[in-house]
Amino acid sequence: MVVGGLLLITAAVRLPSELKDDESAAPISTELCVGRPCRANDDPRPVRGYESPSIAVNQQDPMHQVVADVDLVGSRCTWHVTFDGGKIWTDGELAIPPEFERCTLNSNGFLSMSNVVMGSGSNVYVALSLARVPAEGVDPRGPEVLGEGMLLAISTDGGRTFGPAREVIPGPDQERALVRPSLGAFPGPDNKDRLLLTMWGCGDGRCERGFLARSDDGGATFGSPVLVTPDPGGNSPSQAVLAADGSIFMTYLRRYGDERAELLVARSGDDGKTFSAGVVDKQNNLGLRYDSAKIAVDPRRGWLYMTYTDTRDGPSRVFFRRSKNQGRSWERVVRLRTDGGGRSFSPNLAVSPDGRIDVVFYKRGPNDADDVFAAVSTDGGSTFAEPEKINDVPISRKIGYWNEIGNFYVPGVASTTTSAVFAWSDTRDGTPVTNAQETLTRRLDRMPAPTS
Amino acid sequence: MKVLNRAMASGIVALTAAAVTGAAAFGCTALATISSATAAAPVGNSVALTGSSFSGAAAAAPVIFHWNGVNGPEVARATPNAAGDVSTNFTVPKADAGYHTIVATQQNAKGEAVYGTPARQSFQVVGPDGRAPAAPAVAQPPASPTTSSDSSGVAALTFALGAAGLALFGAGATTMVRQSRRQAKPVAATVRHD
Repeated sequence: MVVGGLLLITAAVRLPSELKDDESAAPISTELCVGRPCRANDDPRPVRGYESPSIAVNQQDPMHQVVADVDLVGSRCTWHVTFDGGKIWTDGELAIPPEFERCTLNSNGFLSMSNVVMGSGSNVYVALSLARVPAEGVDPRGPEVLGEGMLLAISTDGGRTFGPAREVIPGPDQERALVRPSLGAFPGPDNKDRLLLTMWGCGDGRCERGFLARSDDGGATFGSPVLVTPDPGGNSPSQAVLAADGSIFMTYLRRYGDERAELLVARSGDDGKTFSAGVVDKQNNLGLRYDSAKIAVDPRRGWLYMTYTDTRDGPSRVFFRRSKNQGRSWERVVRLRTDGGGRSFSPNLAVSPDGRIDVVFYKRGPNDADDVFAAVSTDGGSTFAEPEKINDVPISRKIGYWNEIGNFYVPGVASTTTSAVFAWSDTRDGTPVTNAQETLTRRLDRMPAPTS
Repeated sequence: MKVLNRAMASGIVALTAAAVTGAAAFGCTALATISSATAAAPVGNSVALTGSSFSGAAAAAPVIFHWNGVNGPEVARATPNAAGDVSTNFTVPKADAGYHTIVATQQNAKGEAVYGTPARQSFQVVGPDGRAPAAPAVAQPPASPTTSSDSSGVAALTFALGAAGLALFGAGATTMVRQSRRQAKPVAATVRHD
């Protein structure tokens, strides 16, 4: 009886705690999309192939995120939206006018989609680089055929739906194309969003120009593209950013074919009508083959930040730099270190409204698999915490599409005052049969930045 | 913008004399893709297949459609037209209901895989009634060891311990009661002799 009584008491004490809600009983580290990555789609099919991920987050509601990527299996430009932090995703396919090519590799071998951005209210924007399908009977290599131009797709309901993509900048001519769009959205006149659209100019299989086009009416119209890279040219133009004084900044690279490369920062003080640029760094393999140096403005301090890759130390590494004087000078590089050898590449960065810097990048380890690292600075880039690995399974690139399309698409990052959200391409669910690759996301909760 | 020191400036002059190389295009063509007229069908049904962006070169081999792997059994083949498009039909082979993979391969004249291949597509085999198995929940990455199934197992064990405790307690109590009843039987009084 005594033993029975002890057992009874033990059960009576333990049982209520086991009956608690599972989620509240589980450690926070298991929470989907927070402690562990989650798939950014609701696609049940085992054959999946998504690349070129980007992510945008609602500053007022970090649970509301939009991911854009290209579906390589179906040649579609797709988006995925969540309103609960990634537990439930709704997938969509951008409607492309029938006179345009499908969403796949373009004439210069790049994917068609820009990054996705949120504007004012519930506006969400994404740009596409697509060519018109030659009319029946027309020689696809004839002079009548235009190269890729720019289309824009807009959502006015937070990414629940998108209107059909609409041509905003026609393709120049058959010898030239506008590719690899990057998009920025900023407050504009008359409560409309100002959109800054940068793109590469390519011809004869070479891409030696960078352009910027501006819209002040939420994408309804764009001005003619302005050449940002005068002779001797340049490529890999970055996304453009808008400083508090109205200056527009962007970066581009000059590559010299023998690994030498220069990094230039271009500035416009007249709303993007003209640009002047200066070299800020010279290193081997800056941006590796096609990557741009990413630039961002600190909304709190007004400083400029950059992150890029080069091989000054041997294997490719990720570096950070800042300018405290509107780009007139740039401080020395800071290398974002990780342990264990390997090479780091494809960095991206975002800055929260209160000035916290979030950097994300891939790292190829000695096991020939990739990991995704996130680095954070809360003091304007003076110091960075040790980069944190945010994927939980090494990413095998023997599975997926990098062998066909290259590793030229950076992970996505977006920052709010209380969180950073990341998106990257991952093959954890892929097999040699399915070859599945898709976008995974993860949210890291952050403390609001110190006010000092 | 004053961003150069003198050493860099002289270097830049030398560099700009060299040709800036444009980023050469990477991929040559689009990736091959395939699609089926229907995403699901029962075993034995004939389903139309189409594909695009294969090699339309005369020397290229036909496109072969395999079941569940590049070396899986062939279910169809077709020769692309000059534009690289193919169309054919395949008969759904005998297979368990659920998702399977169609893999389309093509080789060039050297026997190498044509760029952008193989192409893949999911295909769902359904029952004779046309119904698919219940769609699996989107497979999110597995959780860490503490999961809801672990918690429910411990709760069941706790219940069992409680039930065993109750049984033992009850058995012990019953024994005590029986013992106390035996002790209450009247004992014969001792006879006193004066």
